[in-house]
Amino acid sequence: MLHKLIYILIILSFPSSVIANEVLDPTYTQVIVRDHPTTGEPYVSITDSGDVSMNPLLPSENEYSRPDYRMLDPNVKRGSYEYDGPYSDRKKVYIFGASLIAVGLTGATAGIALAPATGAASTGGGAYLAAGAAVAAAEGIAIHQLTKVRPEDENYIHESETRFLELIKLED
Amino acid sequence: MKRYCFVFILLVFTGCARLFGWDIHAPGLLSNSFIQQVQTSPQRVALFVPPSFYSYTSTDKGSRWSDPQTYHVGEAMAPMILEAFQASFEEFVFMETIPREDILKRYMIPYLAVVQIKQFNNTMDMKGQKLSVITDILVFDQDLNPVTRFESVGVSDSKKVFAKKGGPEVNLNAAIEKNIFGMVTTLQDFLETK
Repeated sequence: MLHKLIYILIILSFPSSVIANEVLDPTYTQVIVRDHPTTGEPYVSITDSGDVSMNPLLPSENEYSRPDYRMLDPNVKRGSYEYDGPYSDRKKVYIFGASLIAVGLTGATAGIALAPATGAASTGGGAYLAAGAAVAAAEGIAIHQLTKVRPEDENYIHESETRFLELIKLED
Repeated sequence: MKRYCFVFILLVFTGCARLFGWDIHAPGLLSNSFIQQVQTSPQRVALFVPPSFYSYTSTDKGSRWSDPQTYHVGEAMAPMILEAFQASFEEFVFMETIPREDILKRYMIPYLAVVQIKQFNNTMDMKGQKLSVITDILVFDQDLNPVTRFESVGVSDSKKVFAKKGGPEVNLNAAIEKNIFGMVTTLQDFLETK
């Protein structure tokens, strides 16, 4: 009985830090499993402690299909391979640009360009709009013809190359 | 004079590149061929990209007479490089905090790759367009000592690009993907020798 009491006294005399099971993270970081923003596949990420917000610099979810590079073959007709990703349409901005140029060419003022207020102004506005539309159509067609290409060669070239570089001494 | 001032102010506020030209946002997804070509390596690797990586853009229009173009390279490359490393390394860790020696040791990460976009080139002629993306990759060990450095170049050279819906976007995506393909395969080969 006495030896049991001695054992208990020895254990109670231990420093509390030895018995405690809480371990502080000296790096102040945490491990989070996130989903890839476009594929949804999980990956492990190390972030600062307490910060669970998604990296705002990564894009938000999209439902685009994986691109098919066969559409880059010049022999392939437009629309042969489905593409549902983002695209830039140049034609509409050139029409708008041409309409702005038309403002300067016809001598119309900013007021007419925005909205005709009176009868007289509406006539001027109508004339401006008709002239602007005619100029815009001509500009659009001219631009399209200038950039139309008829390549004689086929296929596309995709290259990948790596080369090792000299290690630079990093400053502390 | 007033009408020219109005036009000028309007252009300034709306951004000339968006008014007169192409704003190229690639899909930001790897193609099926990448997934099929790359094998998963049983290694633990961490990846860190600096904040400037995500916002890397280029207005290189390729030739003197080309339309203005803006390429959002970093925006597309960020999710693609993440997906590529996921597919290429079994134990992939993405560092969202600035890497430190104690972090690498705590999580037993033997190697850290730091990737930066170094250059973007656009070459245009009457037949087509050639895009190239160049990245600089620095590999560190657990003590944050640099162990190797290499450069990856990805090129996509295609014709009739601008005549197709999504053509320039897919061309950019292809150049980025080729860059990443070279990057991960070289990294895999290097780590296998360690």
